[in-house]
This record gives sequence, C-alpha cells and structure tokens, in this order.
Amino acid sequence: MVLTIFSSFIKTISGSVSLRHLLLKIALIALLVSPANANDRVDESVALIDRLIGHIHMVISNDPSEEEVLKETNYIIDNYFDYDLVARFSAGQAWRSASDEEREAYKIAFRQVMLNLAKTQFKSLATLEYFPKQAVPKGDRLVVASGIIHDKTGEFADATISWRVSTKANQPVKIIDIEVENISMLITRQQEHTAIIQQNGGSFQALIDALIAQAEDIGKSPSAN
Amino acid sequence: MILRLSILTITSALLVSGCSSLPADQRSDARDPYETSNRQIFAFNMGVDDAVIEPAAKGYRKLPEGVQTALTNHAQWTSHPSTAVNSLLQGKLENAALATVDFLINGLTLGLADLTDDADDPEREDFGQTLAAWSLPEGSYVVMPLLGPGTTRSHTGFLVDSITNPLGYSGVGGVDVIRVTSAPVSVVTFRGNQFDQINDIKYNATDPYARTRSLYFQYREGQIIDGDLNVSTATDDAFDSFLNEGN
Repeated sequence: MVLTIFSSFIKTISGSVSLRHLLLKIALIALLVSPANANDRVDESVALIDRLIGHIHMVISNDPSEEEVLKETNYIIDNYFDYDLVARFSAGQAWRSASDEEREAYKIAFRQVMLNLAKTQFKSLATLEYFPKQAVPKGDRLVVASGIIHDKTGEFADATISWRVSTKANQPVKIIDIEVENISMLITRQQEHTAIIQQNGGSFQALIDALIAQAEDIGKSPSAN
Repeated sequence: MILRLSILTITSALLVSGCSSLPADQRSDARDPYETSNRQIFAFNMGVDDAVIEPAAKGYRKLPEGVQTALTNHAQWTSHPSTAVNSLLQGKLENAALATVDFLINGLTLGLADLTDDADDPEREDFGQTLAAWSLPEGSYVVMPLLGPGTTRSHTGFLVDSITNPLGYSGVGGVDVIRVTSAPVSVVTFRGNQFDQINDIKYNATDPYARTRSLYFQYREGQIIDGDLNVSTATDDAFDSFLNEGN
C-alpha cells in the first residue's frame, strides 16, 4: 500500500497522474483497507484472550506445584502481556525521571508482586468460566474486549471483565490491562504508585522499596490466610 | 437521627476540608485538594472499621445463608424509592418502573424476601448520578467521617437522597424500625458482602488511602456510564494519552 501511494506520488510530481486521481486512490485505499484492519485487530485480540484462557485452564488442570505456577505466570506475563508497557504505565509520570537502574529494579519488584499474588490466587481461577461478549477498537492502538466471568460454585456473582489489548502496527497484539466491573488494575496501580512517590517526597526508590515489602507480605495478611 | 447525623457530618467535613486545600503540585491526584485532612479522616474510618464494622461483618458472614440474603435484599429494597425517583429524573423509565414494582411487591415482606425473583433487578441510581447525568462537575474528592469516600457532587446527592427518601418520613409502626435500622444494616451487609475485597485494600495495599480513592473514582464512573463499553471513560483517556506520548 505504501509503495502504491509512493509511486503515485512520484508520478504526480512528474506530472503523469493528476492530483485528483491520487487523492481518489488514497481515499479508496483508506475505505477498503481501514475497516478490514480494524476487524483484524479486534479478531486478533479476541483470539489472544481465548488462547490465554485456554492456557490458564490447561495449567490448572495439571494441578501445578508452586514452582510450576511461578514458571507459568512468568510465561503468561512474557507471552500474553506487554510487560514493558505495563511497567511503564503503572509507574506513572515518575518513570520519565527514573534512572535506568531504578526502572530495572522497579520492573523486577513489580513482577515479583504479580508472581506472589499468582502463587496465592492462581488455583482459585479453577472454578471460573469466561464467556466473551463484545470487542471494540478504541482509537488506533487499543482494542477493548469484554466478557462475563462466571463462578461455577455460585459463591461469587457474575462479573464483567474487560481486556485492554495493545494493537500497535507491525507488532504482535498484547494485553496491557484487565478491568473488572470497570476497575482497571493498571490505573489502580498507577494511582497508588503515584501517591506513594508523592508521599515520600518524589522518591522513586521509596516505591521500589514499598513493592519489595509488599511482595514479601503477600500471603501473610489476614485476608490471604 | 441518621439524617441529622449525615447533615452534621457532611457540613463539618466540608468545613474542615475547606481549610486545608493543597497546592496543585503537591497533590498525588489532581481531584484531591484536601488530601491531608482526607487521609486523617480515612485513618479514623479505618479505626472504626477495625473496632466495629469489620467485627460486625464477620458476625454477618457467620449467619445462615438465607439470613444473609434476606438482609442484603432488605438493604437493596430501602434504596428502591431513591432509585425510582432518580431513574425518572434521568429519563430511565424502565428502571424507574422496575424499582417501583420491586419496592411495592417486596414491601409485603419489608424487602426481606425477593418476591419478584427476577433476573432483571433495577440498576441502583442515586441523586449524585442524576447530577452527573445533568453534567454537573463532580467537584473535589472528600472523605467523610463514617460515610467514607465521595466527591462534593456525590455527597450532595447522598444528602438529597437522605432528605427525599420517603422511608425517612414514615414514623408509624414497623416503618419506624426501618428508618432506624436501614443504615447500619446497609453498612454491615455491604462490608460483609465485600469482605475479602475490602480486607485486601486494608491489609495488602501499599497505600490503602490511594487505592480506595482510585477504586472509588473508577467504580463511580462505571455506575454513571452504566457499564457501556462504547462510552469513552477516564481510563480510556489515560491510555490514549499514554500511547500518544510515544509509548
């Protein structure tokens, strides 16, 4: 497509094709190509979520040990999520002024929090079923796919879950956020992390320390026990 | 009594918060200019939760399931008049009709039993949501003693709902009991039904105050847009601007 436009542009410059012809061609290309691209992005996003749900069910059905849960969670983070984007977003504005060392330390500490949460909660996913409902593009680079989470035991009411999928051009689609009943995990994290930095005089290191402490505390709190 | 307490609490908290507004560059959230006093009130509320509400919610969770359901039904039933009025004000006629019918039918058991047994329960609507539907700005984030988080708009809405709820004016026989018991029952059933989620914030969050504030704003926005995926939310805007910054 780019080559077609480029060659038409060259022809326009050289005078062999009229400007009106070129504009018409661009408009036709846009009309024919854009909807298909949007649909492709939506389809790819839905397929990614299907694969993730299938993967989680497969892991749970094998009754994994704690080490296997950690290994699989790492695999899921690396293959289904854009962890780099997740880390940057969750750190908020402070990410820009953080040093490379601080950024790396943050990424490790934040991943450890997620791994420890998975360790305590992964098996509770066994009774949950997912029913996809709707997927819509949001701008050029995001798709939001939503569905219903149903608890087979009936202990929890059905909940709406939405997956925010990054669909950057020429890159594989990746999940960047999960929303449950309109509560975004990443927005919640970002706002909490921003407050911690603000409460500690702008120190990014204070956030890293808080995350390390949080990772150590997971599993010890009254609600988790 | 509860109404007078609400008015007193809201007025005093607004007066306290009015004295301690933070400059914009010192806020951890632009919507929270009273963060210093809000954090103090939040700590007080957490103390009340430790001493009274969490133990009561633990007791509620030990009740037989049928009793828990009856209390939850009752708490929902007391909110139906407000839902009916506010649905009308927002032009949501079907929801207003559903709330009215549910209130009248379930009123035969004071709301303890859901006689309609209908999957299509009315969506809760309050005057704060009505003000949002009328495009009134949400105002500042304010944590109220005992009442918890909200914005000046939602607290105003709560006050109006308290004044206009017809149950608050009925002073005869059993209805008088409802007026006195409905608020504590609502608090305990809410805390009991959200026990693990609230404890997760209380015990696991790195900053429980900031997490509560974030959850409040997102949850409230979800209520206002009625979960419509096609409506652009503050979360959508945040991701849009993040991705437009070249990430």
